[in-house]
Amino acid sequence: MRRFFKQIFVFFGLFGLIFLVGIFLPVTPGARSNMLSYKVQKDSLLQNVASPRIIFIGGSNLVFGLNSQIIKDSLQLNPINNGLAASMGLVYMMDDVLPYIKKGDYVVLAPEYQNFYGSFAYGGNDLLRLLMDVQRSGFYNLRKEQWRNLIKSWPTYFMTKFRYRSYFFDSENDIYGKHIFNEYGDSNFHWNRESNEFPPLYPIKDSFNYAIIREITDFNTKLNEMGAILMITYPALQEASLEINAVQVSKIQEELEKTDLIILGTPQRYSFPDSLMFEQAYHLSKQGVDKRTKRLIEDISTLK
Amino acid sequence: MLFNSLDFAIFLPIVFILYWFVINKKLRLQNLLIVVSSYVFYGWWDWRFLSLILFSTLVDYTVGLRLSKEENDTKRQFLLWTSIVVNLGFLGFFKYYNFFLDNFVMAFSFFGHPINPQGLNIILPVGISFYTFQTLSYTIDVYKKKLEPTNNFIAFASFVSFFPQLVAGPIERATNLLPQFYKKRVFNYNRAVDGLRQILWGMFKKVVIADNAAEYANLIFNNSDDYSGSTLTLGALFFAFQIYGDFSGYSDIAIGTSRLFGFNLKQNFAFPYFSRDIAEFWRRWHISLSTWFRDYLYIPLGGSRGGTWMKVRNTFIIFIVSGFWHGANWTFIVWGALNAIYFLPLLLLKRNRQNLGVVAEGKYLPSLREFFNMTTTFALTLLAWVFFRSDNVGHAFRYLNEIFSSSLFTMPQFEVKDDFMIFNIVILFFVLIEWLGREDQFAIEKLGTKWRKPFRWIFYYAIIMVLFYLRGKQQEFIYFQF
Repeated sequence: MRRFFKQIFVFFGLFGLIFLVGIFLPVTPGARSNMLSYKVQKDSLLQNVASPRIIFIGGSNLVFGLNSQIIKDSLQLNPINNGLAASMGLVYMMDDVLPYIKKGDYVVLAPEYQNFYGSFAYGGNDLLRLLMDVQRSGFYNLRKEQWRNLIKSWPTYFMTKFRYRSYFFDSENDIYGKHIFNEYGDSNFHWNRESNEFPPLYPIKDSFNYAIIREITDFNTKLNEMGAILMITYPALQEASLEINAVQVSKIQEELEKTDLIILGTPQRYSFPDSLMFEQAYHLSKQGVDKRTKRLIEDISTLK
Repeated sequence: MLFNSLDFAIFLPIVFILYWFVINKKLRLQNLLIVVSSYVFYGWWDWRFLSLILFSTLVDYTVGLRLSKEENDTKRQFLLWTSIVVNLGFLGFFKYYNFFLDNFVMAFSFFGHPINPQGLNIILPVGISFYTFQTLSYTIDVYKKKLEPTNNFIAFASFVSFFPQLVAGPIERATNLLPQFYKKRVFNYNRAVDGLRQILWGMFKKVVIADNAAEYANLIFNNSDDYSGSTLTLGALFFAFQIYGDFSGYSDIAIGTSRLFGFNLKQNFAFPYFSRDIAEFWRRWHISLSTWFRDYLYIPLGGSRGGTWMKVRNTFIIFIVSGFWHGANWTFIVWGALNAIYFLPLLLLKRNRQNLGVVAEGKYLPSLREFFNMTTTFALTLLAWVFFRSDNVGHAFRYLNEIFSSSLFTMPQFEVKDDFMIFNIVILFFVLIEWLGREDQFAIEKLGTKWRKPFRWIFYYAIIMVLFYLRGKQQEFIYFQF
C-alpha cells in the first residue's frame, strides 16, 4: 500500500509540476492577439468616455451585435460596448464595471441566456484566460463560486500553451482577434464578411439559477445608489435556437418580469432568422446588427 | 456522477482512502461504505430515484431468503414472479410506458378509432436497465438453486448498488460478484496499478475517441438530409467509434475502479470490431448483456436445441428483446432484428462457433481472409448502427438510401474542427493499440509494462496530455439512457 501511494504521489506530483510549468509559461502570441486582450482598451473606454454615456454589458452577442455609431447618433449618448465573451460570466462582468460607473450613466445588460442556468454566470474558460493572460489583478476580486467554477477550466487553459494555433495563426483574418473592434468596442471587422451556416444551440439542460436574478437586482440597487440607471434586454439570438430553448427562455422572462427591473423588449423581438446571423447563434451579420440596434434604440427611446 | 467529471475525481480518492485506511479492518464497515458511497454516487444525479434501488434491493433480498425456505413449487414460482413483476414493472413503467401508449394511440387511429389519452412526463432513472437485470439474475439463480441466498443485507445491497458498475454495467452475476463481498479484501499493488491503467485507457476511449467522434456523428446524423452518401458513411463510422469508445470506455473505468477496491468484474468488451463474423461480434460486444439474455431467456426458451423453426424463433426473440432493452423506439427493435438476420445463416449452417479464439493470435497481421471477414463484419455492423443512431426508422431508411446512391462516390464534405486531422491520427493510433492488445483484457494491459519506468511513465503522461488536448465536448455516456 505504501509503495502504491508513493508511486501515485510521485506520478501525479511530476504531472502537477509539468502542469504548473505549462500554466506559467509566457502568454502566447495567440492570447496576446485574441479579442479578450482588448479588455484593457474597453476598461480605458469605461474610464475615459465622457458623460452622458450608455454602457452595454454582456458577452459576444454585443461584440457581434451592436452598431454603436447609430446609437450615438440617435440617442445623443456616448456608447461603450463593453461586451466580450459570454463565458466570462455575468457576475464578473457586473462586478468589473461597477468601479467605472458615473452618475447619469445608462447601463444596458444583455446577458446570454445560459447565464441564468447552472453556474454559467460565475464564469468558465474565457474568464480564466482573461485573468491569466490579460488581467491578473482580477483574481483578487473573485468570489468563491467563481473560484469553484474555474477549477474545471485549468486543463483547458493549460492546453492553450501547447496548441500550435496559439503560436501559428492567421492574425489578420481572425474574426476573434483584438483588431476587430471599432472605437466604441463593437466588432466591425465582420460586417463585410460572408456569413456561414451553423447548427442551432443545444437546449440548456441545467436548472434555473435564481441567485442570478438576485445578483441583477443587487446590481440595480448599487447602480441606483450611484445615480445610474439599469436596463435589461435580451440578447440577439438565432430564431431556431430560441425555439429549441423556448421553455428555458420563457422562464427567464417570467422571472425577470417579477422584478422591478426595466426590461427592454422580449426574447422574440430580439430573435433573428438565419439570413441575419453571422457564424453562430448569438452573432449577427451587418444587416442583423443594424436591425437589432434599431430595435434597441426604439425600446430605449420609449423609456427615456 | 459522471466518471469523466471533477466530482468523480474528488469522490474516488476520498472513498479509496476511507476504504483502505479508515475502515479497512472491518469487512462489514467496508461493505457499508460501498453502499453509502454508491448511494451518494447515484444520488448526485437524482436522489429521488434512490428509493427505487432500495425497493428493488429489499424485494429481491426478501424473495431470496423466502425462496431458500420454501419447498412448495407453486409458492416458489409465486415468489419468483413477484420479483420479476416488481423489477420489470419498474422498468416497463419508467422506460416503456410512453412508447406503448403512443403505439396504442397509433394503432387505434389506424383502425379508425382515434383516442387521446394523457401521456406522462416520465424521467428515465439512470441505469435502471442495468441494476434491474443484475438483481433479477440473483433471484432467478436462487430460484434455480444455483446460488445460496444471502442473509447479509449489507453485502446484498453492496452487490446491487456497487457504484463502479451501477449505472452502465457490466451487468454482474450474483455468482461472480456477491461472494466477493463476503471475503476480506486485501490490497494488491499489481491489481490496483492495473486498475489505474484500465481507468486511464477507459478515459481515453471516452473523452478523446467517443466525445470527439460524437460531435461529428451528431452533426452528420442531425443534418443527414443535407449530406452525400460518402459523408453519411463517415457519419456512421464516427458513430461506430463513438458508441464503442463510450460504452467500452465506461466498462474499462468501471472494471478498473473495482480493481482499486479489490474486486474483479468480468470483461464486457473483447475488441468486438476485430470480429470475423457476427456471431463472434456478439460474443465480444456487451458480453454481460449477451450472456444474460443467453442464460435467462435464450436457454429457457429452448436455445438451439429444437428444430429449425425453434432456432429461428428464439434467435429473433433474443435479438429483438435485446434491441428493445436498449430503448423504447422502433429503431432499436429493427436494429435487433437486423442482427438476428445477420446471425441466423451462421446458426443454421452451424458456423456460429467457428471463430472462438482471437483473430491472428500470436501474429502481428491477420491473413487476407481474416482481414476480409473482419471488414465485412464491421461493414454489416456499421449498417446496423445506422438504425441504432437514427431518430426513427424512416430517418434510418433515408440515411441508408443516400449511402447506397451515386453520391457515395463523391468527396465527403462537412464542417470540421481545427484538430480534425490530429483526431484522425489519434484514431489510427487507437486502432493500432487496440489491435496490439487484442489478446488481453484491455488494450494497454501489457503494453509498456516491461519498459523502463521513465518510458512507461512518458507513455502514460502522453495519454493524459492527449486527454487534455483533444478532449471533446463533454457528452453523457450513451448507455446511461438505457
